[in-house]
Amino acid sequence: MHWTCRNWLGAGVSVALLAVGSALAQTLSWPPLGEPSTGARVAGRWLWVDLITTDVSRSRDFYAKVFGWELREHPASTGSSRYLTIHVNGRDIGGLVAAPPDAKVGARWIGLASGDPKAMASRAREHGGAVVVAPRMLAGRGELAVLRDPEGVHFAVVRAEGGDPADHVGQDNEWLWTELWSKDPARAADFYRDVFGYAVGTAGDKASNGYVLAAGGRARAGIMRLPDASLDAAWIPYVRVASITATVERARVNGARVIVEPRRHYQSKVAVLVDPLGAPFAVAEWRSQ
Amino acid sequence: MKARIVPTVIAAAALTAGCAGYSMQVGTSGYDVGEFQQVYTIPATSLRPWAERSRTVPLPPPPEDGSSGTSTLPASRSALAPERAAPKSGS
Repeated sequence: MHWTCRNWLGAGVSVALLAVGSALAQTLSWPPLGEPSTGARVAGRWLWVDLITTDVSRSRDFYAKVFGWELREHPASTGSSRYLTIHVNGRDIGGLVAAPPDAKVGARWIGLASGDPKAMASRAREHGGAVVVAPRMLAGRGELAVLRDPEGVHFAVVRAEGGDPADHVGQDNEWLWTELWSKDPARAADFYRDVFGYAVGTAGDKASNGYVLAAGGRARAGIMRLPDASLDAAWIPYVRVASITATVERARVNGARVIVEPRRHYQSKVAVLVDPLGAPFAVAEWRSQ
Repeated sequence: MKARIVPTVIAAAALTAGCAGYSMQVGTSGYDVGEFQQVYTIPATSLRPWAERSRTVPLPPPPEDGSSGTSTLPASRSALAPERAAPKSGS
């Protein structure tokens, strides 16, 4: 068999097509949920947080300046559909996602909790919630569903490929805690208990009407009463910081609004802010007892 | 004849494999490369009150238990997951 120049050219094109196909397959993967998977899963454990924003570049600049996060453009990002991963302390902890083009100016953090998306979508429906995005496989990430609680607050459930990442509390500039600000904390606690199977305990004194949601023997999230009825209920992720004073000042200088000034909380200090695009988040200088 | 058939077969196989990889990935994700944002659809009406918020929220005085009254963050270290082990020096 004698191959001509044309034969070799054909084979070369074939190899190129194979390479392009493989490359496309690679770039279409979603960023994995942080560290290597453990094989274990704890339903209700919050694994990842994504910011949905109408201005990815502005959000990127803000969070990079405030927390020193390195925001890495995902290979599949395009001009109108961008996904940036948040990289800090040697790991990925979340992402920034461009909101749909028709969205108004705004932003919101959405947490991804571990669980069985199909089962939890079904339970959410049964208990007054709704399914926003039905369970589906996202390559590189796992099976995911986006749900809405009875107050209209969005959250996601993910069955991560290979199991959850290792279970550790966040270091400085990583997630420490997450909290639902609800107009009806008791009802919200019932809903999340019914969906995830949380053990529900009380937080603080009776007046604060707060709840702590536990899973796998650890506290995973809290629920407290929304202090102002003109705001909508929302999940608020906490970032652990070394100095709350310096962080709040940096955030303010870069366009954030402080809606709860730094306050002593046991041995710690906490503050709640709204980023320049309108996403609420909290910071905590955490000193444990 | 063989000399023409072999590269043609290789080309077809490579094209099929490449496209299969692409299709599997698209089929798995359910979204194409331009649709990250379609996984998260938040009504604009729920964003507005927070986006327009510029003043502090009214807060009750801190309770006597030492908490802020504005947070559910546990005070006890043991309530949360363990800290990461510090990286070994020299590694």
